[in-house]
Amino acid sequence: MLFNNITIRYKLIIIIMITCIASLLLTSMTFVILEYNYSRSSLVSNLSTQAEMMADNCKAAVIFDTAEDALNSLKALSFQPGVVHGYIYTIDGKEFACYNRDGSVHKQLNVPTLTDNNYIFGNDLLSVSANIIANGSTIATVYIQSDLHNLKAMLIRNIIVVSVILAGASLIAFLISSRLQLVISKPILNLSEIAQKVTRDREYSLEAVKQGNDEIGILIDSFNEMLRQINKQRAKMIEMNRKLEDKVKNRTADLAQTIEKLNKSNEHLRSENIERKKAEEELRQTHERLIEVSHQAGMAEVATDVLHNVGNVLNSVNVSATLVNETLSNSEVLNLKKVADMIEENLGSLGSFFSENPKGKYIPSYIIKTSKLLVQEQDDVIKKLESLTKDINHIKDIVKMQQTYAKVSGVDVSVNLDQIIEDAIRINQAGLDRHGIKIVRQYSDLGNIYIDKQKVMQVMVNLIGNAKYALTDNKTDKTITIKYYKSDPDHLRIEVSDNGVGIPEENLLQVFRHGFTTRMHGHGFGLHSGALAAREMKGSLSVHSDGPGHGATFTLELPFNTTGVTV
Amino acid sequence: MKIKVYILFMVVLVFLALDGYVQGEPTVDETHELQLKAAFIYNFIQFVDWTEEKMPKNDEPIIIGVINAGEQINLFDKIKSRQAKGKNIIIEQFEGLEEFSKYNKEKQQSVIEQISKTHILFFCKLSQENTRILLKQLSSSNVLTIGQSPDFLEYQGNINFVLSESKIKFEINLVSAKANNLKISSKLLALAQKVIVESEGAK
Repeated sequence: MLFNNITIRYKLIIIIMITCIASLLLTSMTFVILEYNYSRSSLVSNLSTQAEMMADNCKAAVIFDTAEDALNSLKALSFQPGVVHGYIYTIDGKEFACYNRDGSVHKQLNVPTLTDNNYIFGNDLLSVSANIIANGSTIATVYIQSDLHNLKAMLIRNIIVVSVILAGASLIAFLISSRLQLVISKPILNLSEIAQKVTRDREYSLEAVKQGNDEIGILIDSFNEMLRQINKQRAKMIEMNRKLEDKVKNRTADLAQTIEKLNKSNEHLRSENIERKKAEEELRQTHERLIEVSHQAGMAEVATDVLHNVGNVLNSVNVSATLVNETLSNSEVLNLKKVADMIEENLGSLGSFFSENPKGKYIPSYIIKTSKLLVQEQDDVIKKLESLTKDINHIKDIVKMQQTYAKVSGVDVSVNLDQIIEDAIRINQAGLDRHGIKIVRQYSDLGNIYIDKQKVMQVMVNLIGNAKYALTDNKTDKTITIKYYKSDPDHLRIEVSDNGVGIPEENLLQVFRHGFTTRMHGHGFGLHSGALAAREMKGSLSVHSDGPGHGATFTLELPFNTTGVTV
Repeated sequence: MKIKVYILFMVVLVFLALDGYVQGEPTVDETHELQLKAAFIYNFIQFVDWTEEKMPKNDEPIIIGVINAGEQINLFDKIKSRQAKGKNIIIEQFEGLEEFSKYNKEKQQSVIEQISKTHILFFCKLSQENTRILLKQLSSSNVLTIGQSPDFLEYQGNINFVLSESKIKFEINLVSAKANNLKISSKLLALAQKVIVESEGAK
């Protein structure tokens, strides 16, 4: 706002002046306008009367067509100040008589605009008209025109007078307001000055002088009271400040000590931290080693099973070989050798030998008999050798299979899942047969799929081995059910269930833990390495059991695809 | 000259047709002159006041008497259909008054009574002698007497037509008018070429 930055003294003067001038101006304007309007009305009224009189005076002249008389009458207008023209127009619009003040320019009237005692302002002229009526009919019209010089002069005079009065009144208002504003401004300015001093010098003991009991007086009282309060508060604050400073000093000293301690602790912690990091590093390495060991253990378990199978087959090989040996040791071939020697001795007299020699007589029948025996023996040996060859081939297969799985670890290859599971069963076959365990197969047809053959094999060998142990104590109906199916478009589930001892609920979460085993000679690596292998394949290995005596189901869930792209 | 006369005549006709006030210059032609004078006579009604008793009551007309107009009486037909001061106007013709002076008193009285009923009496054609006698008898009859002879005012006639510069003008004997209880408007007086205001004086 315009007034914001000027002192209250000038504000008051300006306000008073504006108020006075505004009211005076309004009054004066009203007066001037009213006066002007009144003068205009008077002029119209006078001129109309004049026109009426002129119409009456000229009536006879018009009637009797004496234009000179009419003009004489119009000349009376020369006594009317301001009137510059007087005309009489007949009803048909012809000029009957015309009066012009000396020196004035004749202005042709626009006759139709002025009828029926009308008036009009225009061309700096006021024109009025009055009809001349004879026997009830208008026979002519008198027009009188007055210039507005007087009206304008009066308006200007009025404006000048009003301006002078306005100026005089403003001056008086200024003089009076300059004095009177002190009543309000002086105490306020005084108060303002004190406030400035207080602000500038921080001198709170000052007091403003009160001059009355009006609102300003109340304000000064409040201000003084406020100063007293501030002064009191200030003294308190200084005291408190001093105390606070003392406290701060003490606290700062304490803090310095504490910081010292903290620094030491920090140093200690840092060294501890380094040690802890070292320990963590060691732990991580141990963990890696453990994983490695687990892998190796998993592989070892498979190898153990393979060797176990190989051992079993080797027993068979041994038996077959012993039997062949026994058969060959007790063979009639040796007796046949003695007969051949006797024949050799008697080559010269074979006829007599066969017919006369008591031993020679029996030789032909012996040969016939022995040849039959030898054929029989030969058949027997061939059979045993066939069995031996079969067993050796079996060992060859097992070794070959093991080599196959050992080769492909970590790479997804296209395989038939049936084949892997069957191989896993075969690796465990000896144990399964020994315990009379029945395998129930529930396979789906997935065709060839891409999975990590070696890892799946490892897990399956473990799971089947595990199931086999769980069934060891069962008396009858030892069954392992192996089932696999597609759980969703790119996942498959392989479930290995047994109806063996089952797993207590509290052990369900621990079976996959490293080192957990319930078997006397178990090392706790099998399921742990299985779970690790499942995770490495981005799958999972889980277990479910309804409790002891209710069997258990291990589920290997794996992602797979049929296109060879690693999932 | 004839063209001028013709134009003036046409102008007069036009103005009579409009509302009966006179516009244009009068003519020297007797007929036309008489026609203009008829219009003047009609217009005089507006500037003359009769006594209250004389003024026609209710629907009665203002009577204009014309002495010895003869055939020319039809020149007054135009004003017959008009009104003045709110009254109808009728024209009454008086013929054969050339012998008025020779009438016996009763007959004269009878004629005077008849004439006195009019409000305006126009002496169209009448001898000086008869005019003088008649005017004398009508001097207080409250009848506005109008003539067109040089001595008319001297014989106490009220208004007399004269020709001035080929225009019809009129003179007023205000003395006789007052004696005749007639009030003539100053506006009319102002237009008169001569106004007699004293018994022997003249304007």
